[in-house]
Amino acid sequence: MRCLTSVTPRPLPERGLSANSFAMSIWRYANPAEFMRISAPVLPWLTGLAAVCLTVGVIWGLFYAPNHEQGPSYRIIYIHVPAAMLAINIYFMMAVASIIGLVRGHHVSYLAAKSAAPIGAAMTALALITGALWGAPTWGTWWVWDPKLTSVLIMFFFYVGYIGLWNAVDDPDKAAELTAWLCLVGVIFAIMSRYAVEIFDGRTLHQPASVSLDEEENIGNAIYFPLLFTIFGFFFAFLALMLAQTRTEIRRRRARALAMQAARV
Amino acid sequence: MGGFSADMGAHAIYVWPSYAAFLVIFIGLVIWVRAAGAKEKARLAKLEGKRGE
Repeated sequence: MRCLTSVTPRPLPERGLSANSFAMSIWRYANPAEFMRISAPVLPWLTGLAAVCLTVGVIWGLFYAPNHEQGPSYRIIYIHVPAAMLAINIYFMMAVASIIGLVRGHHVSYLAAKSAAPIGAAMTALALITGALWGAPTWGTWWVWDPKLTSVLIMFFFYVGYIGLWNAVDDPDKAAELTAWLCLVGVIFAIMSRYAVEIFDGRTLHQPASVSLDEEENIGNAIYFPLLFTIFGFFFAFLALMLAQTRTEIRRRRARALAMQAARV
Repeated sequence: MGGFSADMGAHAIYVWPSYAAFLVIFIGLVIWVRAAGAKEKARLAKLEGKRGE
């Protein structure tokens, strides 16, 4: 296992025009110094885009979108759908980052997964809360042990366990590896959260996805456009929060290394 | 686009808490990220200052 607490950043790969230059251009972001350099100017743009998209989407969806046969409670989808999409996709992102961390030993991958976890847990909680608030008037119940809902709840417990494990293990190298394995074990519930309706062939209370690449399957345009704004807003907000928190984790790692170095002198 | 309407009728008890949860969670995340960032930045600056002495 490679060391997570070294002070000196690894040398950057050469930026030549070799056959694998594309792969190299990706992997150079695994260098903490390069990550810090690239992420700094991107952050304000992501924050601004998130603020604009969320403001437009929420105001449009809450106050201006046309009425629907479900009644005004359908407006909860402008929060529920993006929160649920993020909850699942953040988990997949963490799983990919964990695999990269385990296979290639890039500690920025581990730190990105660690930074994404609390945001994913918050999005899962938001999806569960808004789902219950939508379910009460629509289904007549706050909760059912439906495969999709149950998978999302278990995924939430995996998020909490992942965060807890990072905090419970003192050695960051050990914590990174253990949490990566825990994350990979939980992937099955992220897959179930996404595909339960299809897997159980519609025998779930939860309806199929509201947003599809197939235009004919989508909800009406007047309802759909504000939803697109909130979806993009949630994704931009996640990227901004995750980048900012990963920068903090890189600083924390460096501070830990400096403190250990000072203690040895 | 329909006209402005903030009347949620009988569904208000479901709609407003959903948007309140959204605001609380997002504001909480922003505060957490900013506070953690400022704390680590200050800690690192202090340690690097000591190292430079």
